[in-house]
Amino acid sequence: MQVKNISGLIRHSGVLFYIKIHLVPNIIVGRMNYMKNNLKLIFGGFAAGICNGLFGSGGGMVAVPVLEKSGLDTHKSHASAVAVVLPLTVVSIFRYASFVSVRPGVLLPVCIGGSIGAFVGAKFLKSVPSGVLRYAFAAFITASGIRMVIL
Amino acid sequence: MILSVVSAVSGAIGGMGIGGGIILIPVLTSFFDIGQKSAQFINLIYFVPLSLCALFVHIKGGRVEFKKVLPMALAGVPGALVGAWVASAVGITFLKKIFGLFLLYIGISFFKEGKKCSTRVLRHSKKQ
Repeated sequence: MQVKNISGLIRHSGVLFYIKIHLVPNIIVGRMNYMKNNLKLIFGGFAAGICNGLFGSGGGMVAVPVLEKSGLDTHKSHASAVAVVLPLTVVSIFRYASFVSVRPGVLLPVCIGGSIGAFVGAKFLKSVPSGVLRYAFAAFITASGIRMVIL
Repeated sequence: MILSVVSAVSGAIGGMGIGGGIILIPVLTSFFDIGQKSAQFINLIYFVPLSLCALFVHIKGGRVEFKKVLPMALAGVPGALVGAWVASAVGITFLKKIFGLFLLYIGISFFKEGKKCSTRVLRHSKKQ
């Protein structure tokens, strides 16, 4: 009875020992490897989240270069950035709803106009714009940035 | 009416793949007398239907790399919570100043990238 118990104990502890020696480190090492391989993505995602939460925009601006550096081409990284930013936006909306309120009279035209514009833009201008349009965009952003910092 | 035209333009720019909200927020705050935090909230809400439409098209086209999206989104959710909490805690003028700095940074990096892009395009066209 006792012997049986001991052998069972040994077998049991052997299984435990096996788990300790092989499985647990494997799981930890595997997870560490996953983290290490995706470290840039994880930090980039965190930074994108902070920008998206703090400024209500710009998460994509952070996510696109991170994705591009991880080896995706421009189109794919733009598309994937949208998928990254959508959950962050939903989380931020819940947080924002507790301290800001908007008039629906403002929200409605913005949403309708924005959706139509986005559809048109995605349909007819499939490439990422370059050249003059890009410089105009950069100039507008820089100008309004200066204005916001000074005023 | 003017509001919807403006947001259509910014939506078109967003649909092309460079940030629409980055334009929408300064326009809303400077021309329509809407507070910074409300403008950000509007932009967040307006992004949801827009990105759902865009994602539908992109996933169908097989351009979304979920293996890379997953770690970024998982790490981004706590980041978004922290960012939104900071946005709720700081004052409007301070938030406006940080936002202005962020805009400046993006504008300058766009100027730099524009140069790089144009040279890349030139090289590409020469090859062909």
